[in-house]
Amino acid sequence: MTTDADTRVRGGIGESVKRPDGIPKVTGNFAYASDLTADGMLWGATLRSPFASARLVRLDISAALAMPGVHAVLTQEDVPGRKTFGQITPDQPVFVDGEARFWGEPVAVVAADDPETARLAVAAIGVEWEELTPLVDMEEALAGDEVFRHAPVRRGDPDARGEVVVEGYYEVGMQDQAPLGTEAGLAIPDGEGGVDLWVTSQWTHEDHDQIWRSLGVEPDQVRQHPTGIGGAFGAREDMSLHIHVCLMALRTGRPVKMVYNRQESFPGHVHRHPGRLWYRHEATADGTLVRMEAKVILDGGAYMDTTAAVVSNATYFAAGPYKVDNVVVDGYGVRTNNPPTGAMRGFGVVQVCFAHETQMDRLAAELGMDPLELRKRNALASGDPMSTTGQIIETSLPTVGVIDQLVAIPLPPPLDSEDPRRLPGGTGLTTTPQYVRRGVGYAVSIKNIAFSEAFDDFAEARVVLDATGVEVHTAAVEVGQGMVTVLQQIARTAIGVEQVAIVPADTSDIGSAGSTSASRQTQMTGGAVLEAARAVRAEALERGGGDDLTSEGVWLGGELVMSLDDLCAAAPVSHRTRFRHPPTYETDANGQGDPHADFAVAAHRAVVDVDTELGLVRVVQVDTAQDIGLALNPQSVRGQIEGGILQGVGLAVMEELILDNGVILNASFTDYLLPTFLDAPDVEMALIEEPSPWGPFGAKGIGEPPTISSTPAVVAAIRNATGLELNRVPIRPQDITGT
Amino acid sequence: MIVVGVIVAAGESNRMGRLKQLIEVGDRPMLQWVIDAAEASRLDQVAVVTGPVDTVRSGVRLGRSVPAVNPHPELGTMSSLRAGLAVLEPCDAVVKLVADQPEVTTGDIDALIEAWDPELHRAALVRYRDGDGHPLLIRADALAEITDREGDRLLWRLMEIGPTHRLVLDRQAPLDVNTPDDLATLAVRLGHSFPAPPTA
Repeated sequence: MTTDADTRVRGGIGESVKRPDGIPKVTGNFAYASDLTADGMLWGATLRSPFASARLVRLDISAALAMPGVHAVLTQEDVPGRKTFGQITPDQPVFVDGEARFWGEPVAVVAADDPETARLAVAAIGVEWEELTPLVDMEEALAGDEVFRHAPVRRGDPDARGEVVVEGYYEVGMQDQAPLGTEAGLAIPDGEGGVDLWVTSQWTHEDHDQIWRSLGVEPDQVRQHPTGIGGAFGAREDMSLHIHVCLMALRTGRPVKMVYNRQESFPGHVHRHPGRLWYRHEATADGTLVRMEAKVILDGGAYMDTTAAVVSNATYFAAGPYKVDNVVVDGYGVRTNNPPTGAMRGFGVVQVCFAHETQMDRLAAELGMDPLELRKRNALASGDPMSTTGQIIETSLPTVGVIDQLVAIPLPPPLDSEDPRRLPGGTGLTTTPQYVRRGVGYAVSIKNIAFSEAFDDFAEARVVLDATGVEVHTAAVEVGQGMVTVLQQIARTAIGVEQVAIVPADTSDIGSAGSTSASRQTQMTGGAVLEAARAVRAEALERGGGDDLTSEGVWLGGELVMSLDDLCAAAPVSHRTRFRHPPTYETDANGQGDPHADFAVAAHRAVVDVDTELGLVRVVQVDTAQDIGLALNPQSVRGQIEGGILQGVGLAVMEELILDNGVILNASFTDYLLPTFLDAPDVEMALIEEPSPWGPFGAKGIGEPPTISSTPAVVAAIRNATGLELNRVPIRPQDITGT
Repeated sequence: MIVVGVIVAAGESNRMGRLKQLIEVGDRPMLQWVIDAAEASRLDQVAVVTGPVDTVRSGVRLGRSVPAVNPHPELGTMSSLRAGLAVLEPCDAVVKLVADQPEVTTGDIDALIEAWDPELHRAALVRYRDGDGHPLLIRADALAEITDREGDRLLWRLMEIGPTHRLVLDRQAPLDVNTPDDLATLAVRLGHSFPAPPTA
């Protein structure tokens, strides 16, 4: 009979296994990157541009360098290797190269005995600027041909016409990932010209590939190690202080640590692209979509970062989870002097989802149809072509299922206006109950999983069985989402042995696991661990001559025939795999082709109470049904979904970087409004488990969908409560009161 | 908590060309593998449901299983499930097994029952490497929602709507043995040699 393992091992998949970092994190014992120290360590600090656009006229480091306790002051002249970096295109100078292109761009760094001395030395650097007029309007940038990428889609008959037409214009503000842990790193020179780096990162190998080039050393002279990260959400996919801290360590010959404070963290990482979107939908009188047209402009900031890939996502998911035969989309990423933009949870799909879901509600109103019936009538399903690219959807895609199961979740009870904690103004007692209106809104989304467009997307893992149990070696980065626990569960289930340790590997120890982003690690590194673990089990059974493997050893016909000690006496059983998802391809000049590896859908329903007098919103409940493939760890799934919804609520009603000529006016957690536990709505959810063809045990990535359609659902609910148009997120009080 | 098993063996084996339930797989008929797996499991009672022309029952040892007849197997799998439940004591849940999947083991059945939380899950099934499959567990109150005529569709719809527990077994799904080719594949998977299938 079979020689495969199953979940009868304790702590395998399907169980809500507790995460190993949970207790250390809540008791304050978890070591984040900012907690690391080394003997003889110096501290780094950064001089930044005070302007969004300015010419650097004079830079004099002599006074800073002469200060006691200062060991190095480095500028662009001190970069020994490649002078620029960047994930897709290395277009960003390591330090300002004569012209600052965004507010807060690094100009110089100082290494000193302590943080205070370092900051005083930064202030002592003589610097003179000639301020330039920044380009801050994305439409102006497009008109001036400042374009990082134009992604067109032309599918079907561009002249097709429907009987009912709905047009709309939408805006999305700049959202910050706002991870609680700021950028931090510790670089330790190895005494032989190389350096070891511990730094907040979502993708150590990609960083490594940029760092060694700028340091002017060989690749194996830089080793980047995973470290404790206090949230990422995309903000750690592009580099920040990585090269700077290594340069200082190599220059001084001493360990150097840098930790950004909150104010410099805001310009110190990429943000969600603000967007302007024009949409036109045409349908038959019975609600069948005939044609959709969209123009999407995303503000890419001064440097490319991941803008090209974000534009691709916004373009290819512009039609949402709906069938339309005739599609025209133009997606643009433009260059401005606004703060940097790049990866953030949802990666281009958040912006278009807000627009297409508003369009669907408007179209339903125009047709006199129930908005969910309109969505179900046009819902994409497995086997359909994507409306934009024409790619046949080969994975499960329960679009109708998520809508049906969402609707089946009971609505919350009516507002108890006697309890001030339930009112939008809360215990501030500002809300008069008679002004409160309740609203309910819906939205549906589709998102790709893993990297797209012919990117060579792979994840390596090494699984080792010895007498003490199993070790899983991976460079995949845990950013707080629970990946380590899921990898343990996968290895336990596939091997049959309960003792599994996840060993974070540095860049010299193992190949890349790819980024912890794009909802991909459960499927990619999870897939690699599963393959390697199965190979380990097969070899162990062959070595031991048995038909089952457990923590005790190898069994044959119900009898233990070899202990783990004996099995691994000569050598551990070890396998390394490089897992790849099904290939993806570049699209043609019309955006047609097979750019994506897998898809997932989700639906959200928001219930809000709106204080129409003061413009305050209390998000009462956000329910969801999500296509997850399989819940490898049900508690972890719930946590990801609840957290993602809260981030979507943030974009709907709170979170926005306020800019003035490219300068961030609210670069603090006092002024950048983040949802807290007090703002968190109740969440009820239905999990739909139709298997992905290639995820481990059919699992799909789950990280991004909760953030995507929760935002338009909240906005739809506020529209339902107020009757207002509300074409821009986040919705501000004045958008509701009209004052 | 009473959990019973129903082995559905009322099919007509159209694609096999002979009564597949009784095809020898290794040392016993295919159906006998399933009966034996259920026999040794923690199922409180087991029914074996055959069709109106009962040539199947005589070919197997029922052990503690109770025989049942479905006079109208053409009504679908739910009619057989109900025919089986009719000869058993009232239960809290039923585990559905099928005669043409001899790879399902006692351990699988027990693990499914063990993993099922009667308060949380209206159903449970197995997630294999290549998809979801038998055995299926259905809570008694959920059975009422499924009509016989649309049994198969509604049964899987129930599994989809849930709440369903998916027990993961890291191996290929048990083969549905419907054709002579399937039988040859099964032989390889079980490591047995079977008599050559009859030629048409």
